[in-house]
Amino acid sequence: MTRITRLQFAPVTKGAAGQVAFDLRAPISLLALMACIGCSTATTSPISNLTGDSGAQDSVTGDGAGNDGAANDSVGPDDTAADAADATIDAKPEPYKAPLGPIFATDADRDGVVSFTSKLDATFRGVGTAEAGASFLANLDDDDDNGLEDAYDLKVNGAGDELDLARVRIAPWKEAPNGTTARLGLDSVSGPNVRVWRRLSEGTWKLALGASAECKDVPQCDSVDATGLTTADLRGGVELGVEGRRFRMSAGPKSWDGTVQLSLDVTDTSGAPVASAALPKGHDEVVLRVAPWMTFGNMDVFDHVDSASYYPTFVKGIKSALANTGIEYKPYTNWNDQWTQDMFNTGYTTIPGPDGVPHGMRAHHARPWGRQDGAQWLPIAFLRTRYLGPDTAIFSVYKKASSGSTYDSYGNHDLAPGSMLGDVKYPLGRIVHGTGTLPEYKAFYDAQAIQGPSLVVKTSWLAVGHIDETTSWVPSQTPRGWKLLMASDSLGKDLLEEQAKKGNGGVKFFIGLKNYDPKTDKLKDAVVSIDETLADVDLMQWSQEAEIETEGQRVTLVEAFKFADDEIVAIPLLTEEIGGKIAYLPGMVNALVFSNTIVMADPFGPVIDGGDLFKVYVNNELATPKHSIGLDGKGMTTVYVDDYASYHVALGEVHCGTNPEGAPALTPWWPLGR
Amino acid sequence: MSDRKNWRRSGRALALLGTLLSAAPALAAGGVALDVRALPAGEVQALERDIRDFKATHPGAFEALRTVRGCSEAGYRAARNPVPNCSRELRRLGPGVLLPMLEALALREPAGLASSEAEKRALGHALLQAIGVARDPRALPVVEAVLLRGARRDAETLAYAGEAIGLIGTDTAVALLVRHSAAGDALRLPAIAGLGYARSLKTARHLVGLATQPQPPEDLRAIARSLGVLSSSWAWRAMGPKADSLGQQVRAEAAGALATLFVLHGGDVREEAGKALLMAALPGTRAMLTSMRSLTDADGARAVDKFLSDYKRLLPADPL
Repeated sequence: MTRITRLQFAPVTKGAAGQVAFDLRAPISLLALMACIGCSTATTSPISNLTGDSGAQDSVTGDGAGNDGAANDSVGPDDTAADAADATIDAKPEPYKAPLGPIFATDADRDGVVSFTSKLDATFRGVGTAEAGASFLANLDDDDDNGLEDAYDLKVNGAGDELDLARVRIAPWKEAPNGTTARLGLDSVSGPNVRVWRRLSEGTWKLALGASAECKDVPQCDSVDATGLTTADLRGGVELGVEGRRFRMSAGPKSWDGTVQLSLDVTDTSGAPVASAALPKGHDEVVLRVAPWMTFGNMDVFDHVDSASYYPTFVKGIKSALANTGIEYKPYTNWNDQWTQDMFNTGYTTIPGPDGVPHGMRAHHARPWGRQDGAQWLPIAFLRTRYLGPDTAIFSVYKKASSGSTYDSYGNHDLAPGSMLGDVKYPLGRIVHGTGTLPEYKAFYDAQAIQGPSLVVKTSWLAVGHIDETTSWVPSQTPRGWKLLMASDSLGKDLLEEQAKKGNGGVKFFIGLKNYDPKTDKLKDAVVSIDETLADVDLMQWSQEAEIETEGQRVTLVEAFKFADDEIVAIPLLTEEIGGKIAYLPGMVNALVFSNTIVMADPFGPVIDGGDLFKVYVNNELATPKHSIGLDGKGMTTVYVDDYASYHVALGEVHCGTNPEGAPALTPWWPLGR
Repeated sequence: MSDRKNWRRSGRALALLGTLLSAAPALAAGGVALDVRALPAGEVQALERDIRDFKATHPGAFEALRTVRGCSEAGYRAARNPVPNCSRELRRLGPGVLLPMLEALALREPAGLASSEAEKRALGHALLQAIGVARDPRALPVVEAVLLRGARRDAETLAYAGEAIGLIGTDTAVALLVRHSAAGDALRLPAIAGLGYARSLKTARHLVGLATQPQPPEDLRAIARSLGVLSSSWAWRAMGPKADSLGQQVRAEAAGALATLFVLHGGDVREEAGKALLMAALPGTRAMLTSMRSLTDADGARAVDKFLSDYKRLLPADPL
């Protein structure tokens, strides 16, 4: 078993703001270990060995059997970057030289450049492995900002869109005999799911293969699976750009497996194969795979938090928590859903960019149902108006609009942060979701293979049924790099009992909503004392039941992640029954976490010696070095927001009402080889 | 002309009638869970009288009930799980609104609280829950009628009715549940569910007795759950230190039966028995289960070991 002994974080300069932040997604040791998946021991290679042209990948590519005079040009999304990358490649002692002929080259070595001087680019022909393999983006952003996903129209939408096309080259074969032509083919299964563009001499792009109609978000589409190349084409070389119209949706046998296979058959005027040094049989083929979708977790770097604008107290609290963090906060109006976390799942997708640094886009998918009938109220419509744009994609996973249930809200779909502990490596995190989700969600998560297979934790005992009601994840200075917070009803009870024993049983606190008071014949705020709470046999029974169910969740999580006892920190709660369990006290564990800050519901607990009993306890757990929590292990900044009237009484808390997102992670997924 | 006058006269008469009708309480036809004919006439009259008297002195209680929003679309549409649910709101109002709740459940569907069938069903469930935790014997005839002759015969509604009867917990209430807990009774499952809330040693012993009988897994599962609920009343000491001695007896009786169910049965029965054992939280559970490993097969022994390992944090230490 590979084990991280010390977790470090790579400093990353954030562009526009010019701030230096710590990118939790690129821990050096994680990257090093990713490059060494399959090795028997951990490595401490510096990050530069893994993102440039040397290091682990070079050890695979450094064959050095080449000769001068073969196709040696390269192409990348950015000429400057391509030149720089080539310069690096050229600096190698013995660059690879492909044999003469019209062979394919892809970015199989994952340096962001398609180069015939890279042996992997020119010779690797399989589906991606840990060492090699090319990929392409599901091009679902809108670089020309016309309100339509780039993959849903029949044009390449400007320079930004060009960057999102995965390049494939056919080497120029200047010696091609007169009359030699070729058939460029595409496998029929992938045809409707992709588009292959050909770059023309004037720099424009023409559709060559794949989906031949707009088809928008309809999976099926007419497609072109072959096109011809002339002698001149072969002599000049061909540059192709591949884009996906969708992600891989399932690993099932009837689903598109996410790969695209391009073939090349070179023939003479009689149709007989024409041999070359590169292609003795006149035939070549190459495979690329669609890049996976990955979701964000609490350890990711966010630059934007969303929420509804309807509740001034809540908005003020979130705004205050985000002040001076560099994270943008613009609460939305004109939308009828305050449960921002639930409406859409934020994430991203990447392929190798220049210098091997991931290039891609944000990619958010929408819940199947809205809060009012009509397509205009579906969350995908919200995403279309608020998020779709340059470098931000939107899509849906569900098969049928307005299907699903509360379990398909994304508060029930979370990400355990990256971990290299345990038997299976999840450097980019593992998706954890509750029970009851539509089958297409698990199929989708598992098909991405990077943050899955997803772990299912039982949530059906909860009235809302979401995983965020009982769990959250926070950074820590520990071998794993993070700890799990879990709701604990026994802790909630113990804290109250302790105060009762100290003689504070008469202290009252607000429990939300209203009581009817027969003495005044009026409603009044519902308050109870500590003693009354502890003597409430119904509340204690419900809380004990919740404790047992939460322990069942813990058992599942411990089994999957091999947590030690001190890696799980209890957060006090009491629970009531409403036909399923729901937080009686405001659920603090149901929190927004970013960087070194955790924003929780104000528990409005009993105030003793000037402090809220629950806040004092939680601050001692999370805001001190006690559990090595926080980016530096000295504790997090704890912020409490009054969500009582706005969210708690409507069955949710802070996490439910917010949704963070950020730029694509800098940690590459491709070294995982899955 | 005369026709027109007559028409006007008729209109005025109808308007007057309407005014009179709106001022007087509507004739009871039934509430959200009960046709009024399912209640004995004497009970209806007594309940109507109590409601009328209470309304005269406490109109605010009826107003309070009308503030509940979670079972109407305007209220739940914005909830995190947008399905009708007003349990928390109703329960929070407290026992002071018992009579308005009984009226809504049994006599007259309240205006504006629920419209669709699903909303009315949810309101019925919430009313039964809130009436149950009020633990007021005055509610027993109504809740009994819901269980025996209610308009809704689905398992969930009946279970809520059974639980409410158990929570009321008078001798009459317990006797009713015991009667219907017999094997073969159509109301056996809700009766067993209700017994878990009737907190006494007698109830515990009755449930333990039921647990020893051969019966379908579904029934055993219900018995296991009820034993867990019953034991839980003492496990977290909500009954206070004076009840500890009684609690110890109840938990011991329950845990013995639950441990037997755990080792001798698989599947859902074992799962429910395991949870119930954790609810009983009896010191000695670990030793008891370990000693019973020999009574079961290899799968059962593995289940015992896994349970003891998985839930070690919740199992109290064995006494020395």
